[in-house]
Amino acid sequence: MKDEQMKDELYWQSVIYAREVIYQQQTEELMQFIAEAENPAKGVGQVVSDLVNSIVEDGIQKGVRFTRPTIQKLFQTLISDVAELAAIQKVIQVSSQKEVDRLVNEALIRATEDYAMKVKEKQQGNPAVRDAQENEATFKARNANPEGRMQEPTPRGLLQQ
Amino acid sequence: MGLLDGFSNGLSDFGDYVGDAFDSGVDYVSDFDFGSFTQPVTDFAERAFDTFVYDTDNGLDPFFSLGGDASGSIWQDGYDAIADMFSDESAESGGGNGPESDSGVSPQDGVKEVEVISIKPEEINEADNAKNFVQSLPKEEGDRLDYRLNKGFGLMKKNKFTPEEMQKWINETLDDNGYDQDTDYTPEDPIKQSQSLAEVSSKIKPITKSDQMDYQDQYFKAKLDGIEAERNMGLIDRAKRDIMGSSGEMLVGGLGAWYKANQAEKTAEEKKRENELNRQNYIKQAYISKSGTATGKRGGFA
Repeated sequence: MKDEQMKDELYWQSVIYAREVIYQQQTEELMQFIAEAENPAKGVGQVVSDLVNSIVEDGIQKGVRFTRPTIQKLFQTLISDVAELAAIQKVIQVSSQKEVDRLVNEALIRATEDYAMKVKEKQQGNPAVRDAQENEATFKARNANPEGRMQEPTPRGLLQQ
Repeated sequence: MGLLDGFSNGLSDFGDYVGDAFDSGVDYVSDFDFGSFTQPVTDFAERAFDTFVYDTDNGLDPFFSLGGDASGSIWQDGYDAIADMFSDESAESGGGNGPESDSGVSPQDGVKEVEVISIKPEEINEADNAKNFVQSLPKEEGDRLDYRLNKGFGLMKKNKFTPEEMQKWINETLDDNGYDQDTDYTPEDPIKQSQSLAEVSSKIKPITKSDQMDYQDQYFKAKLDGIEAERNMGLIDRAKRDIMGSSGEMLVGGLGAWYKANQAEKTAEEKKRENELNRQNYIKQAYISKSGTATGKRGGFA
């Protein structure tokens, strides 16, 4: 399968999965979350961020790689779906196209911010990532002080080979 | 079997919902378009993503932060921009999104409002980016032209205009605004030209309503020319919009002039994708219809 086709299929399968959650499995929970959110755009953004995050995590566990364009396309599609459903169910009140435009655009930034924070938290809590960061810091320190390179301890694991 | 087992498992079930939607009738009608993401906001989200999250296009691992403080003030900048973009003041000055709006131009001490432009309904899809671009213009007239020139240039680059096309557009824009490129300006590399547009714009006479409309016409013409080239690459998304209509609702009675005119040229793969899009939309409608959201009742799927 070509790369573009794979991305396209991944996108649509993600949309199908997310719509099952939005319209069938957790409709009431999601709408309640939005109703209780600090503001509607933040609620919609967080719901979509959670959805996309779970989809991407699931994909990574299965060896599937999402690209940034795919994730952002998912954000936009799902924000449209969730915001529209919330409006139909009167969870959020919109009376003009201008209000709708403002809502979905703010929700896009809210979702991006929430997702970025999730990634940061995940990274900070991931031992493998911490090790990688330590290794990177060590590498930089070595380059900054070439004379000290011989004094560096042998990297972990090297002696076991 | 698809890429994600969990996702694929539900596919066959959805077919039933599509049939149910036809049987029960889809009575859901959306009054608004919930898919109106403006170019400045999507650009902002794109930059923020590349700054704080990751970019697998460049070979980095998912969840590998590119550095930067994800809790920084950049987000507030984004919210402020949205507040400006959709401010009440804009609404009172004729702002809005419908094609029924007038130009919104009202002379006032040489400062013109350009919040809304007249777009025929059939042009909305074609000129989506252009509409967003025009609506994103800042209020201050002094900044407007500079912003417009540079933003227009950026959009053309993004839409893969050739250097010659960009050159032509820039030259025409300068000419139309009273700038003599032959004596005051030496056409060089379009990128260099764009960098000097800020200087140029400071010399340009105050824009009139006529200039303004001419510029918009010119921009749309350039944009539509670009769309011609874009069509081959963007058939899928464009077909989706045509199928769904600007309100996001399925156009049951027909698929639109553009879709019909171009259908014969589409490949089997594109038709397959259109069918999938068509099916997807019915799935969505079926969910809403079946769950009773249109009537306020909740049913759900057994």
